Amino acid sequence: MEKSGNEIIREFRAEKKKGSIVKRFKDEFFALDLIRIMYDDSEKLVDKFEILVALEEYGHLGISSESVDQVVTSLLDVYHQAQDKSEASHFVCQLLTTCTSLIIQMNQLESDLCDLLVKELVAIVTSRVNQLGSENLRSCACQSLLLLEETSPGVVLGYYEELVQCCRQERSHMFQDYCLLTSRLMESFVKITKENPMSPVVRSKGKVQRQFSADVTDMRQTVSYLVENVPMFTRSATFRVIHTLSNLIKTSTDLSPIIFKSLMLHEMSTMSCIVFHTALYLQRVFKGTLLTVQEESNLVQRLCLMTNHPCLNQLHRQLTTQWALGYKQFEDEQMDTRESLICQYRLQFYPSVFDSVDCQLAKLYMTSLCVDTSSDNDGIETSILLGSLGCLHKLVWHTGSMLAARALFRALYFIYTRHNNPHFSQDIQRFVRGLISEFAHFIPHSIDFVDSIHGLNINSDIFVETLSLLHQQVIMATGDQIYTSFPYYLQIMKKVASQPKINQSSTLKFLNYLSDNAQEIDDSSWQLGHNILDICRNVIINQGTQLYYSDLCELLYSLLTDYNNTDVQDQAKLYYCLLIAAADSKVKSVLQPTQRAVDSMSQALSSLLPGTTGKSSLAKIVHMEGPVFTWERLCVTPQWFVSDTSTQTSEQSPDSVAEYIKRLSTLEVVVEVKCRLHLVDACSFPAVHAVSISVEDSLTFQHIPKVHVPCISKGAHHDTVLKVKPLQAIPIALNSFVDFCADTKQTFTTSMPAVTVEFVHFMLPLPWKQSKEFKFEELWNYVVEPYNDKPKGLKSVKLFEVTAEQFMKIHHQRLAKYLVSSSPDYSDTRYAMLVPPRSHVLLQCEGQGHTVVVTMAMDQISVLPHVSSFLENVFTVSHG
Amino acid sequence: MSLQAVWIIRISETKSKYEDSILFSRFYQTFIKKSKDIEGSHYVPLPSNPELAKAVLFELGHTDGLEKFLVDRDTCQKMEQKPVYEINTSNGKLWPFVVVEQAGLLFCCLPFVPQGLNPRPPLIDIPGVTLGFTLLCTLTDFLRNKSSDEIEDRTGDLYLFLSQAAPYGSVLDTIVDSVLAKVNGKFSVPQKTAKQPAWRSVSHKGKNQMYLTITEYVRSVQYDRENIEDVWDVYGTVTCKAELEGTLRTVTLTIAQSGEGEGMPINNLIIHPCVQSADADILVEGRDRAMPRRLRFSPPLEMFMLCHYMVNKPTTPPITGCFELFVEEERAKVKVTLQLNDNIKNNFDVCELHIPFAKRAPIVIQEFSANHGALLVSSSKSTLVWNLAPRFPARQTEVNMSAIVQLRASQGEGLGTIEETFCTGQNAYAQLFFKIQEFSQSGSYIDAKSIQVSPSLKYKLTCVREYVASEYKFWNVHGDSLVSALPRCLCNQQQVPL
Repeated sequence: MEKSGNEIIREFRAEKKKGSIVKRFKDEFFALDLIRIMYDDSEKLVDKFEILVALEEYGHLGISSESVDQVVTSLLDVYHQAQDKSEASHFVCQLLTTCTSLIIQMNQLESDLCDLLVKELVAIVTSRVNQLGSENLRSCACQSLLLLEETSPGVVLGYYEELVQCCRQERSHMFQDYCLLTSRLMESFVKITKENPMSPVVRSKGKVQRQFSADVTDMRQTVSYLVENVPMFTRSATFRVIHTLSNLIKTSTDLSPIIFKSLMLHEMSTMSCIVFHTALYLQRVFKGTLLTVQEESNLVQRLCLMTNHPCLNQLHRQLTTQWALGYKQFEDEQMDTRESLICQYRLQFYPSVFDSVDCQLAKLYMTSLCVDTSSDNDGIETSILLGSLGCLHKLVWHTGSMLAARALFRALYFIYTRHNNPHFSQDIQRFVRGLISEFAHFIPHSIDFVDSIHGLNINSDIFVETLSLLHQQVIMATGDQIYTSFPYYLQIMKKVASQPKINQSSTLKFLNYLSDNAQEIDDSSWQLGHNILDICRNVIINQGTQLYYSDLCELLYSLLTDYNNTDVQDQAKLYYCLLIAAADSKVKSVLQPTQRAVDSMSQALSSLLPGTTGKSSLAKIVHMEGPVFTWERLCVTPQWFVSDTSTQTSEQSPDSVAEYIKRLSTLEVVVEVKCRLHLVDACSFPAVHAVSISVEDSLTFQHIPKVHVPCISKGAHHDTVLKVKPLQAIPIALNSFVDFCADTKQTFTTSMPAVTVEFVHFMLPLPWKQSKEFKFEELWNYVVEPYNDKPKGLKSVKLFEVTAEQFMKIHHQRLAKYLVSSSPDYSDTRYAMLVPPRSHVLLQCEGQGHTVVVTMAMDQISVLPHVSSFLENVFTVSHG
Repeated sequence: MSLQAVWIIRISETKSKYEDSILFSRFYQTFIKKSKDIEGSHYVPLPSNPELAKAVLFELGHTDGLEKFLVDRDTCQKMEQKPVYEINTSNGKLWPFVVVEQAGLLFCCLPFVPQGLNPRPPLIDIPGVTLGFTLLCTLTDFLRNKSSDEIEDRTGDLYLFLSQAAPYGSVLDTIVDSVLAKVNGKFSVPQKTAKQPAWRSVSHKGKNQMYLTITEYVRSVQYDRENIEDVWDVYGTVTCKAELEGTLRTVTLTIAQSGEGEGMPINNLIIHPCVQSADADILVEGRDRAMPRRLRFSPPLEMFMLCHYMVNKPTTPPITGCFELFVEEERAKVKVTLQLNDNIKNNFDVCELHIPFAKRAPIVIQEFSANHGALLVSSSKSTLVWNLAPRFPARQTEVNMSAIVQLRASQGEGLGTIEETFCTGQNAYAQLFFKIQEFSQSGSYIDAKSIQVSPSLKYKLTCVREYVASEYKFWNVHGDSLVSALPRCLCNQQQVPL
């Protein structure tokens, strides 16, 4: 390995972050490579230390049971070389730690290797008692022995007597480590002798190891000695020693837990988390044997006090609240006939204005556990419960905070699981309904809450009632609320639609409103459409088709005809056809969510309807050559409208041409082509269903959505308006074809004669009234000159042999609506036309004797022949 | 008692940066192995560091935010157990995962549960959670004021620190100074006759001195309404730093009560573990007359909280007041009246009333009149500050102020703390900050004459008292306010002061 220890450490750190360090250690030889660095005196001790930590953490990934011997032996060898170097104190400790850890990880506890390590560790611990400068090494050795003994009881037990003796002799702060080891050895001894009372301490492989004897008196003395010296220990070590000794005393019949009593009485006044938990732990383990009722009451009072003591930090208080919860559950499990001690202090758990949201929730859990509403005749218990929610509820109500709402719903759920009486349920419903009336973004919380209480299977009526209230709240939403919060409302509707006990008429009305206003609410999005359809499906599946047949038909029809999204239209069409043509059971079977989408969607509608959902008949569309429909144009109406409603200026006259040009950007021209569709007399179908009229796309106008007609019978007709948005002002032909379904359930398609729109249909007078400041010349210049992205326009002149009287007649018949200005005798007349998309045709007519000179300007060059034809028609055909 | 792993995670809201989120990790394979052996097929392997960071940040709402409801994280069925969390990973759920958040960092650990997790034991039965939580608090102390980069640079120091604080993951010492003394390895020579405590491995060398401080806090929320009761309480802390030569000395002292303030009894004492004995009444609460409290303790070298106490509720808060605010479109009319209680020492180091307008900043004072003190706008231009220090008028302890403040248009919702969000329209509060030296409302003081040090030695003694407002608010009389008061019918059932 070429890299230095420091380079390796930098790589380790980077790989630890990425999580890729495991790959490196999976290499069997990598650990051996690292050991070479341990022998290198040129490497820094701090780097070696960190490499050893990595070996301890990840070494087991690559080291095998065969190679562990080599690794540990090498590390011990390094230890022997470095043990007396005072500056290498942490390094040698980590060497022992890594060796111990690897032996445990690699299951080598019964090997000679382990014995070797144990001997080494025991030598450190026993031969250096009170030795200055070896404290950290001895501490490490004690902790290593302790871990080995804890993992494999008996492995160190043979050295018990020496170790106990050393424990008594040690006077430095290391005394604690000796005590920890001693207590662990005693626990092992009692455990092993209890399991095998007749046999000595035996290790595996049949080898009898060192034996020792320890009589009860010795043991009792040692336990007393350790307990007396507890004040010498750190708080963590106190808990560890007490934990070990309590295990020992639980197992041994010769030792009494009363030895802990004075310690416990002292510990229950402490502010330390660890020490107080020690007292609680002892009470849990030796309940009824250590403390009197009064003393236990003091302990519980202290516990409750800590949950609310302003001097303690918030997390500390929350942790103590968790202990109180555990204690209360323990009391409940014991089925104690006495009154719960925790409940005596229940008002400690009443949330305070000084509490954070988290603390309030923790206290609400406790309050809920401590009040009893089962026989609450005077209402006090319920008033505590409701009152305790007040502060949190107010916080949610005024802030709309998600954090506070999450806490409130958790509290409500917890309370509901324990106090599901009707009165309280009503209060909960009131809470929830009130919240969503103000904050729709709490609807997901509400739904989760409703689902959760439903999952408890306590009272299904409450679930339905709560859902019903939420439903009512949504129905009462105003238009503005729907506009901003419809995704949340749809979540409730989806849930409600699955509930047979709730009337769905208002749901469907609500959906109709969304469908009718889909463009404004969400630009007729796919998401909105499918959400509406999902709710329809839920209604159909859960309520059947008969109850809401007409409402559903109306909604689906509206979607399939007017919803501006093809996919939504198609699915609406499927649902609609199913609804009107299939039996209830069939519709449900097709729409069941378990039905694989591919099964239902790859079939022809016609194959689903007759009564089979089999895959045998996939969709086939028959092309009809002969005429089936008559498709005639009834009228063409051009219109302009302002797409950006925020400008609020559509009614006012623009002050200038510049203002007019600015407004043009928000203007759109739509040509409405009204057509009539009916079946030809010779048609063999008495009626056709699910008629879908499609207009072929073209480069000259925007895509026209499909038109859907549920049914056309022979003799009847259907008028429809195609909204054409031309991209150029040139005549267009609308080529269409129709898909339809016959009574035989077969799908057909047929093309229809083209419907044409001429240039003259595009011509509109200028939008908005022109004010006096509006100058025709300025508009003329705008049309003929380039402007921003608009290219240069075109000018042309045409002469017509027309007298002044004839021109007057032409003006009144054909041109008057486009007039911008004229001289009193009409010798100089100016006209302006708006043509799609936002272009102009300007005409200036000057009478010169028997001739009228028409000067034209237009900003689309392609329009010129059509303008020319138009003028020819006007000046020649009209007058003559 | 032991931990499987410790992590320090930087709070990152950028999803692509999870790799950089883990600043430090330490795995204790022996306890991971034990956990595997105990849980068997139910064992949930620890994920890689980036995955863990992602899962923890998600659970704590640092990645997807709390604005969107996410069932896995936000369902009401999840019972909060803070500081313990359940972390959802691709391998399964990690529990009991302990998290302590501080200064943009998450200090986390996964304790070892020897009794197994199936079924999950209550937290009261898992000592590892308590020890892990305390160790994390120690780490936050050790790394206080350190930036993320500094923490990464100190990885080696952290390994060393943990090798002493929690060898093999078994927590042994959770006092920063004590652990650092062991890391530095410069221990004092043990005495021949007495054993040296593990929490004091080093002796003091130098001048002998002892500092004792009583800090008494008062918090109050006042509404000035008939139907809502004002809330206040007083509590205190005695802090000690004893720099005394020798291995271990015993100090005895008395917390006496003078006739100043209201002379209310102190109760609910909770003491430092080094206190060997307290008076016999330590656990007896609810006394109705003031009496001295005697404590005997062996002080550690570092500064420590000797005890916390609560004071029986005084008859009135130290300063009562009324806050009126009318918010119009672009200005607010403010009127405040404050009255100093006769029992309170009229000599303030600090006394400022802050009226926050966080959402309407910057503010400008248009008109102002007060019979005492100065009115100014904070440097952030968001708070109106009425400075009343150093004292209330001698003959007239009621002061009042009225002002008209020009406001900026509202800056919308979602700013600041949840309480600031609450303050919209007429919902507002004024917060009082004050500090009085050499005073306590309970009359508590350290009786210097009562202090005994054994074995005796000469030392310099410094005793200090201060009386501080911790959370002291006046809600606008004309707005809504946050209230949590016990139903009146229950007040007489209360056994201990809230």
